[in-house]
Amino acid sequence: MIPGDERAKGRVDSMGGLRVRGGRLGRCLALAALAPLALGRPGFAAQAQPPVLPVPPAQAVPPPPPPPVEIPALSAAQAQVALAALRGADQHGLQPRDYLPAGLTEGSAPSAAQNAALGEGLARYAHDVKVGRMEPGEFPELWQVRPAPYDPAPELAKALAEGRLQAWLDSLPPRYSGYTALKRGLARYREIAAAGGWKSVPEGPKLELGSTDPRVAKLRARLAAEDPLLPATGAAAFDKPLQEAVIRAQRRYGLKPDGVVGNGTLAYLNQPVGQRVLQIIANMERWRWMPSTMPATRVQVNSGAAIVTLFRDDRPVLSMKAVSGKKGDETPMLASAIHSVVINPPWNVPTRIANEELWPKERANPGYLARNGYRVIPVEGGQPRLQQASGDQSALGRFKFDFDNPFAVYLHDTPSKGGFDLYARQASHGCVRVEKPRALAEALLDGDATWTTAAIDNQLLGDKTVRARLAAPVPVFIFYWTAFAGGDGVMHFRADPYGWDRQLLQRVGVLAAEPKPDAKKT
Amino acid sequence: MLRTSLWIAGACVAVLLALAASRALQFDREPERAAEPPPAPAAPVAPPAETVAPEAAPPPPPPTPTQEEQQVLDDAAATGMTTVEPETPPTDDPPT
Repeated sequence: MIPGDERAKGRVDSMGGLRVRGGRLGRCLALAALAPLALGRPGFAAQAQPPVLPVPPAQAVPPPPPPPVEIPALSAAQAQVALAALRGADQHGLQPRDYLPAGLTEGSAPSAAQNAALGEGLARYAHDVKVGRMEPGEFPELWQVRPAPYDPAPELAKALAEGRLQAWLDSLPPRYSGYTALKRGLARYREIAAAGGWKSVPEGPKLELGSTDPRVAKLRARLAAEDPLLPATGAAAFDKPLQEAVIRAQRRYGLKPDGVVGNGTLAYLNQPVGQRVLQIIANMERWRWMPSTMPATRVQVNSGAAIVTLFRDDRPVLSMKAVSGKKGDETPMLASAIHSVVINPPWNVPTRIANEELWPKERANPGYLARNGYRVIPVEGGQPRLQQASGDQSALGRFKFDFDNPFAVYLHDTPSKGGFDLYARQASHGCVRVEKPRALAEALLDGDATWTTAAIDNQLLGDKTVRARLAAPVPVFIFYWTAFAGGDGVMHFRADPYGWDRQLLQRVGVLAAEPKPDAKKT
Repeated sequence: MLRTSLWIAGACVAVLLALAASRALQFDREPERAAEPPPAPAAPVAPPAETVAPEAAPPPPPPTPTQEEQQVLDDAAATGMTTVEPETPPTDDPPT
């Protein structure tokens, strides 16, 4: 029974006397009382509303900016709250010196000028901790997940006037678990750094169970610095606890968890702790670009780790490996909505791929295009374009998941399943290949009377292309995370395959910008 | 004239009777409840005994996720833990 009916039944029961004695009149009154409850039952409105996407609508003409708001002077108590918040900015990966007024010492009352500077510093901090240190216009084209412009001055002035500065400050950072976990991770890795960090393990022959290499003690100490389950000292030989610690570390770094330490694993272990701290700071900055809420049903992609997850009712229900764009063909960060599943898609080859890869192959090996199912489509007054027919050899496999975006990228199946066995899976031209396309298609089309499992099976018997439109578009978010905490709070790191962590840290001034090529010449 | 007066008087009587009947039916009465037991005689005042709250049964541990479910949870964390942290309740601190 729906909640509205339950309440209505209770109301009828409480009118027992009237119902019995009132006869028809009582029943009529009871029905009249029931009607608004039944009509207003929860769920009706929610079902009728289309899903709301967090992507802000494009505005042709931006509204004129509101007049600047003057920040009032802070009281003595407010000044102390403000100073505490600004001194704690490093907990959020920000630099306190960017916000604290010069010359203000602990416990001293700020002068009028310092008070004004404190207010301004507070506004800068509020901006940076809420939406990050980059203005929307400063984002590279491929970083489409961006915050809306934010002016904290009106909110700050209001919070000061209403005496709720602390509550307002607490409301600013992202409230997502991913951000909170990174904040904890930042504190932990700074502690490791303060305790001396870890020493690198020299390269050499593979270390595995039973090895008696003198480097085993160094490996044990290195792993123990990060892994509380492993004692820093132990047997001189590579024993079982050490092997388990290596496997845990390999999982944390997204490597093949075989318990054998080759130079590949060592390259990850030998990254200094300061590098991990910077990686966490870069990822915290990205969390500030997220919409304040996420739709309950959504697809999330991490192009940095090449993983896709489908959430339904805010719970992960399906996940799979992916192959994302390679360096130079980076998969963009974006927010959109999957509107259809194309079964048996043909591949309309982008001009750049045709020119740089396929036409050279045809010239070197005549007949290559025909053998691989490509047909040449003449274009009046222009260069002919290539299309690969649908079917088993189509580069898009049997499923394509379409969503609008300016980069013409999408999620799709692939005939090259071997790519999913790799641990570094950045190999595509920018699209996202998914490991379980059939499962994703069925999950997205779940409830569609036309596209039952049998109907999809039937469609896959042939090569005919068909587009199945989703009854309600499913939001899709492509992010780039290289540092994140697992469900147990343990930090995981990935390589920075696109170099976007470094780029971001340079843009926000945490790392010194690399000199431009022109500057090198002079 | 007399007939008219009698009709009006009759109508008034009818209305009064209807009102009396409705009061007798007690439409606005609360539904009958089970009779409450008579109050127990006052017991001699005893020192307040330490009340021992009945031990609440510990909630059953959440089912251990299968390997596949754990993989989905791990992957979800890798794509961004977008669950929202509960808001901290307002404190009674003085206004700032």
